Amino acid sequence: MDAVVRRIYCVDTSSFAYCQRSFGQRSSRLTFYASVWDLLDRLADEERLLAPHLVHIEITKSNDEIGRWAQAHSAVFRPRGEHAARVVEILKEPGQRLVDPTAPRGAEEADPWVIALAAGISAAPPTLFDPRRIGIVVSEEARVGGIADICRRRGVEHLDFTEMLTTEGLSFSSAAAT
Amino acid sequence: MAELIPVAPTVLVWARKSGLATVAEAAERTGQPDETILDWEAGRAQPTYSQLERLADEYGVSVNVLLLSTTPRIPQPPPDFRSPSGGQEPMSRIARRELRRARHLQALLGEVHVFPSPALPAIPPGQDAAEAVRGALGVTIAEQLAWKSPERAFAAWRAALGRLGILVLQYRLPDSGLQGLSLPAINGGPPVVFVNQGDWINARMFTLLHELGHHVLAHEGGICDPWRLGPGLSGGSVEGRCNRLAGAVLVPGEHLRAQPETSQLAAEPDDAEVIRLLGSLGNRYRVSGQVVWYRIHDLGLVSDARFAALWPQLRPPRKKKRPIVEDEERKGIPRWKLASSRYGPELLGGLLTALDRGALEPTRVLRALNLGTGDLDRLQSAGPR
Repeated sequence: MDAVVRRIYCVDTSSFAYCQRSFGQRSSRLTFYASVWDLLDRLADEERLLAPHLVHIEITKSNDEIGRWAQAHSAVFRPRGEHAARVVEILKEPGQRLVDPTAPRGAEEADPWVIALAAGISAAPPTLFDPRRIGIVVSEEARVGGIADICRRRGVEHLDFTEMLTTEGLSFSSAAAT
Repeated sequence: MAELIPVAPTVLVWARKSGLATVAEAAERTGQPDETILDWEAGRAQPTYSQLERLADEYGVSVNVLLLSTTPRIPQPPPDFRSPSGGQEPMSRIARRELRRARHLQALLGEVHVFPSPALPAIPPGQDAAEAVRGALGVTIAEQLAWKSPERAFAAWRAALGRLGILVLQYRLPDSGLQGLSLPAINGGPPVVFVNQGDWINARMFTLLHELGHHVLAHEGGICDPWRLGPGLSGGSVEGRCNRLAGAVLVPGEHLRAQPETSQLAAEPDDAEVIRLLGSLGNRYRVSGQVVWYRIHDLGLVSDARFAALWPQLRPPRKKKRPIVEDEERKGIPRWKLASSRYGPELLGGLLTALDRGALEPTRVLRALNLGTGDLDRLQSAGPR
Protein backbone atom coordinates (compact mmCIF):
# COMPACT_ATOMS: atom_id res chain seq x y z
CA MET A 1 0.00 0.00 0.00
CA ASP A 2 1.20 3.50 -0.85
CA ALA A 3 2.65 4.95 2.37
CA VAL A 4 1.13 8.39 1.87
CA VAL A 5 -2.35 7.28 0.82
CA ARG A 6 -4.95 5.84 3.15
CA ARG A 7 -7.48 3.61 1.43
CA ILE A 8 -10.88 3.97 3.10
CA TYR A 9 -13.51 1.36 2.27
CA CYS A 10 -17.09 2.66 2.03
CA VAL A 11 -19.20 -0.46 2.31
CA ASP A 12 -22.70 -0.90 0.91
CA THR A 13 -25.48 -3.02 2.44
CA SER A 14 -25.10 -5.57 -0.37
CA SER A 15 -21.53 -6.35 0.74
CA PHE A 16 -22.44 -6.62 4.40
CA ALA A 17 -25.31 -8.93 3.40
CA TYR A 18 -22.88 -10.98 1.30
CA CYS A 19 -20.57 -11.19 4.31
CA GLN A 20 -23.46 -12.41 6.46
CA ARG A 21 -24.49 -15.04 3.93
CA SER A 22 -20.95 -16.25 3.27
CA PHE A 23 -19.28 -15.95 6.66
CA GLY A 24 -22.19 -15.55 9.06
CA GLN A 25 -21.54 -18.66 11.11
CA ARG A 26 -18.84 -17.05 13.19
CA SER A 27 -19.52 -19.44 16.02
CA SER A 28 -18.23 -22.31 13.92
CA ARG A 29 -14.76 -20.78 14.36
CA LEU A 30 -13.58 -21.96 11.00
CA THR A 31 -10.19 -20.42 10.45
CA PHE A 32 -11.09 -18.51 7.33
CA TYR A 33 -14.37 -17.21 8.69
CA ALA A 34 -12.60 -15.96 11.81
CA SER A 35 -9.96 -14.20 9.75
CA VAL A 36 -12.63 -12.35 7.76
CA TRP A 37 -14.24 -11.00 10.93
CA ASP A 38 -10.83 -10.17 12.38
CA LEU A 39 -10.07 -8.17 9.24
CA LEU A 40 -13.34 -6.25 9.53
CA ASP A 41 -12.55 -5.54 13.19
CA ARG A 42 -9.08 -4.29 12.26
CA LEU A 43 -10.31 -2.06 9.41
CA ALA A 44 -12.95 -0.59 11.71
CA ASP A 45 -10.39 0.04 14.47
CA GLU A 46 -8.10 1.77 11.95
CA GLU A 47 -11.05 3.90 10.75
CA ARG A 48 -10.55 2.47 7.25
CA LEU A 49 -14.01 0.98 7.00
CA LEU A 50 -16.97 3.35 6.89
CA ALA A 51 -20.59 3.25 5.80
CA PRO A 52 -23.52 5.69 5.66
CA HIS A 53 -26.17 5.69 8.36
CA LEU A 54 -28.70 4.03 6.04
CA VAL A 55 -26.50 0.92 5.86
CA HIS A 56 -26.58 0.67 9.64
CA ILE A 57 -30.40 0.78 9.58
CA GLU A 58 -30.56 -1.97 6.98
CA ILE A 59 -28.09 -4.41 8.50
CA THR A 60 -29.35 -4.14 12.06
CA LYS A 61 -32.92 -5.15 11.19
CA SER A 62 -32.21 -8.76 12.11
CA ASN A 63 -30.28 -10.12 15.04
CA ASP A 64 -27.62 -11.92 13.02
CA GLU A 65 -23.83 -11.83 13.06
CA ILE A 66 -23.47 -8.77 10.83
CA GLY A 67 -26.18 -6.93 12.75
CA ARG A 68 -24.40 -7.57 16.05
CA TRP A 69 -21.08 -6.56 14.49
CA ALA A 70 -22.64 -3.27 13.33
CA GLN A 71 -24.04 -2.60 16.79
CA ALA A 72 -20.61 -3.19 18.30
CA HIS A 73 -18.87 -0.91 15.76
CA SER A 74 -21.16 2.10 15.66
CA ALA A 75 -18.23 4.42 14.86
CA VAL A 76 -18.09 2.86 11.39
CA PHE A 77 -21.41 4.47 10.50
CA ARG A 78 -21.54 8.11 9.48
CA PRO A 79 -24.19 10.58 10.68
CA ARG A 80 -27.61 10.80 9.02
CA GLY A 81 -27.73 13.08 6.02
CA GLU A 82 -23.98 13.49 5.67
CA HIS A 83 -23.13 14.42 2.04
CA ALA A 84 -26.83 14.90 1.15
CA ALA A 85 -26.03 17.69 -1.31
CA ARG A 86 -23.50 15.39 -3.00
CA VAL A 87 -26.21 12.69 -3.23
CA VAL A 88 -28.46 15.20 -5.04
CA GLU A 89 -25.68 15.69 -7.59
CA ILE A 90 -25.12 11.94 -8.02
CA LEU A 91 -28.82 11.37 -8.63
CA LYS A 92 -28.68 13.78 -11.58
CA GLU A 93 -26.48 11.23 -13.41
CA PRO A 94 -28.39 10.24 -16.58
CA GLY A 95 -29.72 6.71 -16.47
CA GLN A 96 -28.91 6.18 -12.81
CA ARG A 97 -30.79 3.31 -11.19
CA LEU A 98 -29.55 3.88 -7.68
CA VAL A 99 -32.95 5.01 -6.49
CA ASP A 100 -36.25 3.33 -7.22
CA PRO A 101 -38.86 6.09 -7.55
CA THR A 102 -41.58 3.76 -6.26
CA ALA A 103 -39.72 2.96 -3.01
CA PRO A 104 -41.71 3.56 0.18
CA ARG A 105 -40.38 5.13 3.36
CA GLY A 106 -38.06 2.67 5.05
CA ALA A 107 -36.87 1.15 1.77
CA GLU A 108 -34.19 3.76 1.12
CA GLU A 109 -31.24 2.56 -0.93
CA ALA A 110 -27.88 3.29 0.63
CA ASP A 111 -26.16 3.15 -2.77
CA PRO A 112 -25.96 6.88 -3.63
CA TRP A 113 -24.90 7.62 -0.06
CA VAL A 114 -22.04 5.14 -0.30
CA ILE A 115 -20.80 6.76 -3.51
CA ALA A 116 -21.17 10.22 -1.97
CA LEU A 117 -19.22 9.14 1.10
CA ALA A 118 -16.36 7.73 -0.99
CA ALA A 119 -16.30 10.80 -3.25
CA GLY A 120 -16.35 13.08 -0.21
CA ILE A 121 -13.41 11.26 1.35
CA SER A 122 -11.37 11.46 -1.86
CA ALA A 123 -12.22 15.14 -2.30
CA ALA A 124 -11.02 16.16 1.17
CA PRO A 125 -7.57 17.80 1.05
CA PRO A 126 -4.79 16.12 3.06
CA THR A 127 -3.64 17.77 6.26
CA LEU A 128 -0.34 17.78 8.10
CA PHE A 129 -1.40 14.87 10.27
CA ASP A 130 -3.73 13.12 7.89
CA PRO A 131 -2.34 11.87 4.57
CA ARG A 132 -4.28 11.87 1.35
CA ARG A 133 -7.25 9.53 1.59
CA ILE A 134 -9.02 7.62 -1.18
CA GLY A 135 -12.61 6.49 -0.74
CA ILE A 136 -13.32 3.09 -2.29
CA VAL A 137 -16.87 1.83 -2.76
CA VAL A 138 -17.43 -1.80 -1.81
CA SER A 139 -20.63 -3.36 -3.16
CA GLU A 140 -21.90 -6.48 -4.90
CA GLU A 141 -24.33 -5.01 -7.41
CA ALA A 142 -23.36 -4.78 -11.04
CA ARG A 143 -26.41 -3.77 -13.09
CA VAL A 144 -26.34 -0.93 -15.62
CA GLY A 145 -27.00 2.36 -13.88
CA GLY A 146 -26.25 0.69 -10.54
CA ILE A 147 -23.60 1.48 -8.00
CA ALA A 148 -20.58 -0.01 -9.82
CA ASP A 149 -21.58 1.64 -13.10
CA ILE A 150 -22.05 5.08 -11.53
CA CYS A 151 -18.73 4.72 -9.68
CA ARG A 152 -17.01 4.01 -12.97
CA ARG A 153 -18.65 7.03 -14.63
CA ARG A 154 -17.68 9.34 -11.76
CA GLY A 155 -14.13 8.04 -11.35
CA VAL A 156 -14.72 6.45 -7.95
CA GLU A 157 -12.84 3.21 -7.30
CA HIS A 158 -15.12 0.20 -6.81
CA LEU A 159 -14.48 -3.28 -5.43
CA ASP A 160 -16.63 -6.16 -4.32
CA PHE A 161 -16.31 -7.68 -0.87
CA THR A 162 -14.00 -10.49 -1.96
CA GLU A 163 -11.74 -8.02 -3.76
CA MET A 164 -11.55 -5.95 -0.60
CA LEU A 165 -10.47 -9.03 1.34
CA THR A 166 -7.77 -9.92 -1.14
CA THR A 167 -6.59 -6.29 -1.40
CA GLU A 168 -6.10 -6.40 2.36
CA GLY A 169 -3.99 -9.54 2.08
CA LEU A 170 -6.63 -12.16 2.79
CA SER A 171 -6.88 -14.65 0.00
CA PHE A 172 -9.09 -17.68 -0.07
CA SER A 173 -6.16 -20.04 -0.70
CA SER A 174 -3.87 -18.59 1.98
CA ALA A 175 -6.70 -18.31 4.49
CA ALA A 176 -7.72 -21.89 3.96
CA ALA A 177 -4.15 -22.96 4.56
CA THR A 178 -3.75 -21.11 7.86
CA MET B 1 -26.53 25.65 11.29
CA ALA B 2 -27.82 22.56 9.51
CA GLU B 3 -27.00 22.23 5.83
CA LEU B 4 -29.81 23.15 3.42
CA ILE B 5 -30.50 20.54 0.75
CA PRO B 6 -30.94 21.71 -2.86
CA VAL B 7 -34.08 19.69 -3.59
CA ALA B 8 -36.24 20.09 -6.70
CA PRO B 9 -39.45 21.97 -5.76
CA THR B 10 -41.53 20.02 -8.31
CA VAL B 11 -40.51 16.75 -6.66
CA LEU B 12 -41.70 18.00 -3.27
CA VAL B 13 -45.09 18.95 -4.74
CA TRP B 14 -45.34 15.58 -6.51
CA ALA B 15 -44.41 13.65 -3.35
CA ARG B 16 -47.06 15.41 -1.29
CA LYS B 17 -49.84 15.04 -3.83
CA SER B 18 -49.03 11.45 -4.74
CA GLY B 19 -49.00 10.70 -1.00
CA LEU B 20 -52.49 12.19 -0.69
CA ALA B 21 -51.17 14.58 1.96
CA THR B 22 -52.03 18.22 2.53
CA VAL B 23 -49.79 21.22 3.15
CA ALA B 24 -51.22 21.41 6.67
CA GLU B 25 -50.24 17.81 7.42
CA ALA B 26 -46.72 18.40 6.10
CA ALA B 27 -46.47 21.55 8.19
CA GLU B 28 -47.59 19.78 11.34
CA ARG B 29 -45.18 16.92 10.80
CA THR B 30 -42.18 19.17 10.22
CA GLY B 31 -43.15 21.66 12.90
CA GLN B 32 -43.09 24.46 10.35
CA PRO B 33 -45.80 26.93 9.31
CA ASP B 34 -47.78 26.21 6.13
CA GLU B 35 -45.94 29.08 4.44
CA THR B 36 -42.59 27.32 4.87
CA ILE B 37 -43.87 24.19 3.12
CA LEU B 38 -45.18 26.37 0.29
CA ASP B 39 -41.82 28.19 0.13
CA TRP B 40 -39.99 24.85 -0.22
CA GLU B 41 -42.44 23.77 -2.90
CA ALA B 42 -41.96 27.03 -4.78
CA GLY B 43 -38.15 26.97 -4.52
CA ARG B 44 -38.06 30.11 -2.37
CA ALA B 45 -36.41 28.20 0.49
CA GLN B 46 -34.77 24.83 1.10
CA PRO B 47 -35.29 22.26 3.87
CA THR B 48 -32.63 20.57 5.98
CA TYR B 49 -32.09 16.83 5.75
CA SER B 50 -33.91 16.31 9.03
CA GLN B 51 -36.92 18.21 7.68
CA LEU B 52 -36.80 16.14 4.48
CA GLU B 53 -36.92 12.98 6.58
CA ARG B 54 -40.05 14.22 8.29
CA LEU B 55 -41.64 15.00 4.93
CA ALA B 56 -40.71 11.49 3.78
CA ASP B 57 -42.37 10.10 6.93
CA GLU B 58 -45.54 12.04 6.24
CA TYR B 59 -45.74 11.24 2.52
CA GLY B 60 -44.73 7.58 2.99
CA VAL B 61 -42.02 7.98 0.39
CA SER B 62 -38.33 7.07 0.45
CA VAL B 63 -36.25 10.09 1.42
CA ASN B 64 -34.03 9.32 -1.59
CA VAL B 65 -36.96 10.03 -3.90
CA LEU B 66 -37.18 13.55 -2.46
CA LEU B 67 -33.58 14.07 -3.60
CA LEU B 68 -34.32 13.28 -7.27
CA SER B 69 -34.04 16.16 -9.70
CA THR B 70 -37.12 15.26 -11.76
CA THR B 71 -40.61 14.08 -10.94
CA PRO B 72 -40.96 10.28 -11.15
CA ARG B 73 -43.44 8.90 -13.66
CA ILE B 74 -45.68 6.84 -11.42
CA PRO B 75 -49.46 6.53 -11.71
CA GLN B 76 -51.52 8.67 -9.38
CA PRO B 77 -53.20 7.00 -6.40
CA PRO B 78 -56.54 5.32 -7.16
CA PRO B 79 -59.81 7.22 -6.62
CA ASP B 80 -60.95 7.57 -3.03
CA PHE B 81 -64.45 6.11 -2.71
CA ARG B 82 -64.76 6.78 1.00
CA SER B 83 -66.21 10.25 0.65
CA PRO B 84 -69.76 10.75 -0.66
CA SER B 85 -68.66 14.00 -2.28
CA GLY B 86 -65.69 12.37 -4.00
CA GLY B 87 -63.27 14.44 -1.95
CA GLN B 88 -60.10 13.34 -0.23
CA GLU B 89 -60.45 11.57 3.12
CA PRO B 90 -57.76 11.49 5.82
CA MET B 91 -55.15 8.77 5.55
CA SER B 92 -52.43 7.82 8.04
CA ARG B 93 -48.80 8.02 7.07
CA ILE B 94 -48.55 4.24 7.54
CA ALA B 95 -51.34 3.79 5.00
CA ARG B 96 -49.58 6.15 2.59
CA ARG B 97 -46.37 4.19 2.98
CA GLU B 98 -48.09 0.86 2.43
CA LEU B 99 -49.88 2.22 -0.64
CA ARG B 100 -46.45 3.08 -2.04
CA ARG B 101 -45.11 -0.33 -1.03
CA ALA B 102 -47.95 -1.95 -2.98
CA ARG B 103 -46.88 0.05 -6.06
CA HIS B 104 -43.26 -0.84 -5.37
CA LEU B 105 -43.95 -4.57 -5.18
CA GLN B 106 -46.13 -4.33 -8.27
CA ALA B 107 -43.23 -2.70 -10.17
CA LEU B 108 -40.77 -5.29 -8.87
CA LEU B 109 -42.99 -8.16 -10.04
CA GLY B 110 -43.41 -6.42 -13.40
CA GLU B 111 -39.65 -6.57 -13.76
CA VAL B 112 -39.00 -10.20 -12.88
CA HIS B 113 -42.15 -12.06 -14.03
CA VAL B 114 -42.32 -14.61 -11.21
CA PHE B 115 -46.01 -14.12 -10.38
CA PRO B 116 -49.01 -15.84 -12.03
CA SER B 117 -50.31 -13.91 -15.05
CA PRO B 118 -53.56 -12.05 -14.37
CA ALA B 119 -56.59 -14.17 -15.26
CA LEU B 120 -59.47 -11.92 -14.22
CA PRO B 121 -62.85 -13.20 -15.40
CA ALA B 122 -64.58 -11.22 -18.14
CA ILE B 123 -68.24 -10.53 -17.42
CA PRO B 124 -70.28 -10.49 -20.65
CA PRO B 125 -73.45 -8.36 -20.56
CA GLY B 126 -76.34 -10.24 -19.05
CA GLN B 127 -74.20 -12.79 -17.25
CA ASP B 128 -74.40 -13.16 -13.47
CA ALA B 129 -71.17 -11.52 -12.35
CA ALA B 130 -71.04 -13.37 -9.02
CA GLU B 131 -71.43 -16.72 -10.74
CA ALA B 132 -68.65 -15.90 -13.19
CA VAL B 133 -66.34 -14.67 -10.42
CA ARG B 134 -67.06 -17.62 -8.19
CA GLY B 135 -66.37 -19.98 -11.11
CA ALA B 136 -63.08 -18.24 -11.83
CA LEU B 137 -62.06 -18.39 -8.18
CA GLY B 138 -62.68 -22.13 -8.22
CA VAL B 139 -64.11 -22.30 -4.71
CA THR B 140 -66.98 -24.74 -4.37
CA ILE B 141 -69.79 -24.42 -1.83
CA ALA B 142 -68.77 -27.76 -0.33
CA GLU B 143 -65.24 -26.46 0.25
CA GLN B 144 -66.54 -23.23 1.76
CA LEU B 145 -68.83 -25.01 4.19
CA ALA B 146 -65.96 -27.30 5.26
CA TRP B 147 -63.66 -24.48 6.37
CA LYS B 148 -63.16 -24.92 10.09
CA SER B 149 -62.28 -21.35 11.01
CA PRO B 150 -62.49 -17.79 9.68
CA GLU B 151 -58.69 -17.81 9.38
CA ARG B 152 -58.85 -20.86 7.15
CA ALA B 153 -61.59 -19.21 5.10
CA PHE B 154 -59.57 -16.01 4.66
CA ALA B 155 -56.49 -17.97 3.61
CA ALA B 156 -58.54 -19.93 1.08
CA TRP B 157 -60.15 -16.83 -0.47
CA ARG B 158 -56.75 -15.13 -0.54
CA ALA B 159 -55.18 -18.12 -2.28
CA ALA B 160 -58.05 -18.13 -4.79
CA LEU B 161 -57.35 -14.49 -5.66
CA GLY B 162 -53.66 -15.37 -5.95
CA ARG B 163 -54.54 -18.03 -8.54
CA LEU B 164 -56.21 -15.27 -10.57
CA GLY B 165 -52.87 -13.47 -10.60
CA ILE B 166 -53.89 -10.87 -8.02
CA LEU B 167 -51.31 -9.78 -5.48
CA VAL B 168 -53.02 -9.71 -2.06
CA LEU B 169 -51.30 -7.66 0.64
CA GLN B 170 -52.33 -6.85 4.18
CA TYR B 171 -50.98 -4.59 6.87
CA ARG B 172 -52.30 -3.47 10.23
CA LEU B 173 -53.23 0.16 9.59
CA PRO B 174 -54.26 2.60 12.31
CA ASP B 175 -56.94 3.92 9.94
CA SER B 176 -60.36 2.85 11.17
CA GLY B 177 -61.91 4.26 8.00
CA LEU B 178 -59.75 2.53 5.41
CA GLN B 179 -60.58 -1.13 4.96
CA GLY B 180 -59.00 -1.83 1.63
CA LEU B 181 -57.70 -0.61 -1.67
CA SER B 182 -57.00 -1.92 -5.12
CA LEU B 183 -54.55 -1.01 -7.84
CA PRO B 184 -55.00 -2.05 -11.47
CA ALA B 185 -52.29 -4.04 -13.27
CA ILE B 186 -49.56 -1.88 -14.75
CA ASN B 187 -46.33 -2.36 -16.72
CA GLY B 188 -46.42 -6.13 -16.38
CA GLY B 189 -47.05 -5.93 -12.62
CA PRO B 190 -50.11 -7.74 -11.25
CA PRO B 191 -53.35 -6.15 -10.06
CA VAL B 192 -53.22 -5.55 -6.31
CA VAL B 193 -55.72 -5.95 -3.50
CA PHE B 194 -54.78 -4.58 -0.09
CA VAL B 195 -56.75 -5.21 3.10
CA ASN B 196 -56.42 -3.59 6.51
CA GLN B 197 -55.12 -6.28 8.87
CA GLY B 198 -56.47 -4.21 11.75
CA ASP B 199 -59.99 -5.31 10.79
CA TRP B 200 -61.78 -8.36 12.09
CA ILE B 201 -61.16 -11.30 9.79
CA ASN B 202 -64.76 -11.51 8.47
CA ALA B 203 -64.57 -7.86 7.49
CA ARG B 204 -61.28 -8.53 5.72
CA MET B 205 -62.88 -11.34 3.74
CA PHE B 206 -65.65 -9.04 2.54
CA THR B 207 -63.09 -6.34 1.67
CA LEU B 208 -61.02 -8.87 -0.25
CA LEU B 209 -63.95 -9.66 -2.53
CA HIS B 210 -65.14 -6.04 -2.65
CA GLU B 211 -61.72 -5.05 -4.01
CA LEU B 212 -61.83 -7.94 -6.46
CA GLY B 213 -65.05 -6.33 -7.64
CA HIS B 214 -63.13 -3.15 -8.46
CA HIS B 215 -60.88 -5.16 -10.76
CA VAL B 216 -63.63 -7.19 -12.39
CA LEU B 217 -66.44 -4.64 -12.65
CA ALA B 218 -64.76 -1.27 -12.76
CA HIS B 219 -61.30 -2.11 -14.13
CA GLU B 220 -59.72 0.54 -11.95
CA GLY B 221 -58.56 0.69 -8.40
CA GLY B 222 -60.04 2.39 -5.40
CA ILE B 223 -59.50 3.35 -1.80
CA CYS B 224 -62.43 1.93 0.11
CA ASP B 225 -64.39 1.54 3.31
CA PRO B 226 -67.16 -0.66 1.89
CA TRP B 227 -69.83 -0.03 4.54
CA ARG B 228 -68.94 3.64 5.10
CA LEU B 229 -71.96 4.91 3.21
CA GLY B 230 -74.27 2.27 4.63
CA PRO B 231 -76.07 -0.73 3.17
CA GLY B 232 -78.51 1.47 1.29
CA LEU B 233 -75.75 2.56 -1.08
CA SER B 234 -77.10 2.82 -4.59
CA GLY B 235 -76.63 -0.44 -6.48
CA GLY B 236 -75.54 1.55 -9.50
CA SER B 237 -72.54 3.19 -7.81
CA VAL B 238 -69.12 1.56 -8.06
CA GLU B 239 -69.03 0.86 -4.32
CA GLY B 240 -72.59 -0.46 -4.35
CA ARG B 241 -71.82 -2.81 -7.26
CA CYS B 242 -68.66 -4.06 -5.58
CA ASN B 243 -70.54 -4.66 -2.32
CA ARG B 244 -73.25 -6.60 -4.11
CA LEU B 245 -70.69 -8.70 -5.92
CA ALA B 246 -68.76 -9.43 -2.71
CA GLY B 247 -71.95 -10.45 -0.92
CA ALA B 248 -73.13 -12.64 -3.77
CA VAL B 249 -69.77 -14.41 -4.09
CA LEU B 250 -69.53 -15.05 -0.36
CA VAL B 251 -73.16 -16.12 0.03
CA PRO B 252 -74.51 -17.58 -3.24
CA GLY B 253 -78.20 -16.79 -3.64
CA GLU B 254 -79.48 -20.18 -4.68
CA HIS B 255 -77.76 -21.92 -1.80
CA LEU B 256 -78.92 -19.31 0.71
CA ARG B 257 -82.54 -19.63 -0.41
CA ALA B 258 -82.37 -23.38 0.18
CA GLN B 259 -81.33 -23.04 3.83
CA PRO B 260 -84.16 -23.72 6.33
CA GLU B 261 -83.14 -20.73 8.44
CA THR B 262 -83.63 -18.40 5.47
CA SER B 263 -87.35 -18.93 5.09
CA GLN B 264 -87.71 -18.99 8.85
CA LEU B 265 -86.04 -15.62 9.41
CA ALA B 266 -87.83 -13.95 6.50
CA ALA B 267 -91.09 -14.50 8.37
CA GLU B 268 -89.73 -14.15 11.91
CA PRO B 269 -91.00 -11.00 13.70
CA ASP B 270 -88.70 -11.29 16.72
CA ASP B 271 -85.47 -9.36 16.16
CA ALA B 272 -83.45 -11.40 18.65
CA GLU B 273 -84.40 -14.63 16.92
CA VAL B 274 -83.55 -13.17 13.50
CA ILE B 275 -80.15 -12.09 14.79
CA ARG B 276 -79.57 -15.60 16.17
CA LEU B 277 -80.48 -17.17 12.84
CA LEU B 278 -78.24 -14.72 10.97
CA GLY B 279 -75.37 -15.69 13.24
CA SER B 280 -75.99 -19.35 12.50
CA LEU B 281 -76.00 -18.76 8.74
CA GLY B 282 -72.99 -16.48 9.01
CA ASN B 283 -71.00 -19.20 10.74
CA ARG B 284 -71.93 -21.60 7.98
CA TYR B 285 -70.61 -19.36 5.18
CA ARG B 286 -67.83 -17.90 7.34
CA VAL B 287 -69.18 -14.36 6.98
CA SER B 288 -70.77 -11.90 9.41
CA GLY B 289 -74.50 -11.88 10.13
CA GLN B 290 -74.55 -8.43 8.54
CA VAL B 291 -73.50 -9.85 5.18
CA VAL B 292 -76.19 -12.55 5.36
CA TRP B 293 -78.87 -9.93 6.16
CA TYR B 294 -77.59 -7.77 3.31
CA ARG B 295 -77.89 -10.78 0.98
CA ILE B 296 -81.37 -11.66 2.19
CA HIS B 297 -82.47 -8.13 1.40
CA ASP B 298 -80.64 -8.17 -1.92
CA LEU B 299 -82.53 -11.34 -2.86
CA GLY B 300 -85.82 -9.61 -2.08
CA LEU B 301 -86.67 -11.91 0.83
CA VAL B 302 -87.42 -9.06 3.26
CA SER B 303 -88.89 -5.62 2.74
CA ASP B 304 -86.79 -2.45 2.66
CA ALA B 305 -88.43 -1.30 5.87
CA ARG B 306 -87.74 -4.57 7.73
CA PHE B 307 -84.16 -4.58 6.47
CA ALA B 308 -83.52 -0.99 7.52
CA ALA B 309 -85.12 -1.50 10.94
CA LEU B 310 -82.88 -4.41 11.87
CA TRP B 311 -79.62 -3.17 10.32
CA PRO B 312 -78.58 -0.86 13.19
CA GLN B 313 -78.95 -3.74 15.64
CA LEU B 314 -76.45 -5.86 13.77
CA ARG B 315 -73.11 -5.07 15.33
CA PRO B 316 -70.56 -4.15 12.72
CA PRO B 317 -67.50 -6.37 12.72
CA ARG B 318 -65.24 -5.56 15.64
CA LYS B 319 -61.96 -3.84 14.97
CA LYS B 320 -58.81 -5.29 16.38
CA LYS B 321 -56.98 -3.15 18.85
CA ARG B 322 -55.26 -0.46 16.86
CA PRO B 323 -51.48 -0.53 16.88
CA ILE B 324 -49.82 1.91 19.24
CA VAL B 325 -46.46 1.24 17.69
CA GLU B 326 -45.68 -0.40 14.42
CA ASP B 327 -45.28 -4.14 14.47
CA GLU B 328 -41.61 -3.89 13.55
CA GLU B 329 -41.00 -1.90 16.69
CA ARG B 330 -42.67 -4.48 18.91
CA LYS B 331 -40.28 -6.96 20.38
CA GLY B 332 -40.66 -10.65 19.84
CA ILE B 333 -42.28 -10.68 16.40
CA PRO B 334 -39.74 -11.83 13.83
CA ARG B 335 -39.93 -9.80 10.64
CA TRP B 336 -39.94 -12.87 8.44
CA LYS B 337 -43.05 -14.17 10.22
CA LEU B 338 -44.80 -10.84 9.73
CA ALA B 339 -43.78 -11.01 6.08
CA SER B 340 -45.56 -14.33 5.58
CA SER B 341 -48.96 -12.96 6.58
CA ARG B 342 -48.48 -9.56 4.95
CA TYR B 343 -47.24 -10.62 1.57
CA GLY B 344 -48.55 -14.16 1.15
CA PRO B 345 -46.86 -17.27 -0.21
CA GLU B 346 -47.24 -16.39 -3.90
CA LEU B 347 -45.26 -13.17 -3.62
CA LEU B 348 -42.62 -14.50 -1.25
CA GLY B 349 -42.19 -17.67 -3.30
CA GLY B 350 -41.93 -15.63 -6.49
CA LEU B 351 -39.32 -13.27 -5.10
CA LEU B 352 -37.26 -16.14 -3.68
CA THR B 353 -37.39 -17.79 -7.10
CA ALA B 354 -36.17 -14.54 -8.66
CA LEU B 355 -33.30 -14.51 -6.18
CA ASP B 356 -32.39 -18.11 -7.03
CA ARG B 357 -32.32 -17.20 -10.71
CA GLY B 358 -30.17 -14.15 -10.05
CA ALA B 359 -32.90 -11.93 -11.51
CA LEU B 360 -32.95 -9.72 -8.40
CA GLU B 361 -30.30 -8.58 -5.96
CA PRO B 362 -30.99 -9.66 -2.36
CA THR B 363 -30.90 -6.09 -1.07
CA ARG B 364 -33.78 -5.07 -3.34
CA VAL B 365 -35.93 -7.83 -1.89
CA LEU B 366 -34.90 -6.98 1.66
CA ARG B 367 -35.84 -3.32 1.15
CA ALA B 368 -39.12 -4.05 -0.60
CA LEU B 369 -40.27 -6.41 2.17
CA ASN B 370 -38.67 -4.43 5.01
CA LEU B 371 -36.59 -7.42 6.11
CA GLY B 372 -33.18 -7.82 7.70
CA THR B 373 -30.16 -9.55 6.20
CA GLY B 374 -30.81 -12.86 7.97
CA ASP B 375 -34.53 -12.99 7.19
CA LEU B 376 -34.24 -14.31 3.63
CA ASP B 377 -32.51 -17.46 4.87
CA ARG B 378 -35.27 -17.97 7.42
CA LEU B 379 -37.96 -17.49 4.78
CA GLN B 380 -36.19 -19.94 2.51
CA SER B 381 -35.99 -22.47 5.33
CA ALA B 382 -39.66 -21.95 6.18
CA GLY B 383 -40.44 -22.73 2.54
CA PRO B 384 -43.16 -20.35 1.33
CA ARG B 385 -42.84 -21.93 -2.13
